Amino acid sequence: MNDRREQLKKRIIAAVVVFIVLFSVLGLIFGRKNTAFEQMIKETFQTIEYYVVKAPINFVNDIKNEYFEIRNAFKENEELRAVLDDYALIVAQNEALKKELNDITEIANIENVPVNFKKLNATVISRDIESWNSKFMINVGMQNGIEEGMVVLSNDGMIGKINSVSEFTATVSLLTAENGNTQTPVMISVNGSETDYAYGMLLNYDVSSGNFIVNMVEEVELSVGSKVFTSGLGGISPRGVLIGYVESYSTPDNQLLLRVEIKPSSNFNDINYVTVLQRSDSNE
Amino acid sequence: MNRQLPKMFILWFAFVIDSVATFFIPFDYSKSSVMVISYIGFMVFILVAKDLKEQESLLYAVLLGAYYSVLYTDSVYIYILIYAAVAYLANRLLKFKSTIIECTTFAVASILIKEIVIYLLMIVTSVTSLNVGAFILLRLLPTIGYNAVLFVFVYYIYNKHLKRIILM
Repeated sequence: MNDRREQLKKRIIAAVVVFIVLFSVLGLIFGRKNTAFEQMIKETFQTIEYYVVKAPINFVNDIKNEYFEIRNAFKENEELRAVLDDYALIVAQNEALKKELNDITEIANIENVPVNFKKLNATVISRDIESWNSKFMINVGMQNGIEEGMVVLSNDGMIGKINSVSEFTATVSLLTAENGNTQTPVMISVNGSETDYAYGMLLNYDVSSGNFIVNMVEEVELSVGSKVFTSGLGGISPRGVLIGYVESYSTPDNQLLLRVEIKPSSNFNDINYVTVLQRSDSNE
Repeated sequence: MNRQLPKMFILWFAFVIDSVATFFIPFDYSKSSVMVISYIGFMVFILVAKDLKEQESLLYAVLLGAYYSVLYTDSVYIYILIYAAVAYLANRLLKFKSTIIECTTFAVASILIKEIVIYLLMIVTSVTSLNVGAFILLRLLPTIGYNAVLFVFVYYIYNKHLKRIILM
């Protein structure tokens, strides 16, 4: 009798082990998102952790950084003064282009163009300890108008997309995620031109080269170093957000069109503050 | 229940320290430079598991494994199994009065196996394509070195201040 009970116990344990392994493997393969209950637990504990422990430490850290920044202010002022002349010219050009764009949209009766967007600044409140999936949580959510698929920026350009949203927080999936969850339509300036662009799709991140992989959707001649921007196609991301620069390109044997390697413009090291872009023609 | 609360708090706080350390240690998401993963919670759990009765340590393993999975790993529940296996082995292999060398060896071996198991899982499911050499040089060795050094402090603090609370 005891033997049978022991055997049953072993079978139950084996079944539970197999179930958990399968559940984990399938969850990773299909990119399972948290259930509402899991999200609630995660959000509650992470928010408590952030505001009770991390935020005060962050505050002290920011004060320390500001102190060092102020010490460097004189040197920075000298450098900035040197580029101020160029800046005035760029502002004037920008104003002229804005006016031109307004006139054209009025004439054509277009309410919104994909370069119009609103910015929302956010703070990173936690990241996965294991960090295999290149995700982190930010302190804005549905309450702030955040939606899945919105573009997330750091100082140097696009770094990822909103992967899931709850009431007060959102999870950002970085472009360095290797599972292709952050596919983004892009455009590449052709031979350095500011008006002529070729279109493609950013597929994933290649960890061995440290570059993004883009498949072009049209035949075109590119040059190394050309800027790569979001194309705004697909409706959620705005147009013209810098992603990186062309590092190399080739046509693989099994493809007709170019496969381009893009060197990221952003630094994916130590991300604490981000900006979420919301296209002004998207629903709030 | 009242006797369980201090244990739960100690273990929870160890994971909070991990989370805070993770938050403030710069981490390269492009996986092209050194990545250090803090395992203070896991190491405290090993020390607690060796001192508790088997049933109790397995219960904590399941609870903590689930907690860790949901909060810090995007709900990959395989951590429940890893924590349960570690609790079982810590209970069997480490004695109540194990030396620091025995405990450090066990903790380092556990972290090594945990990292390798998770790496294989990530490779199989195509979450990453980080090659073995880069994994060992950029992630495994720095993580083991960092946690082996930390374990000495964790062991000292645990034996000096926390053990009597755990055994209450």
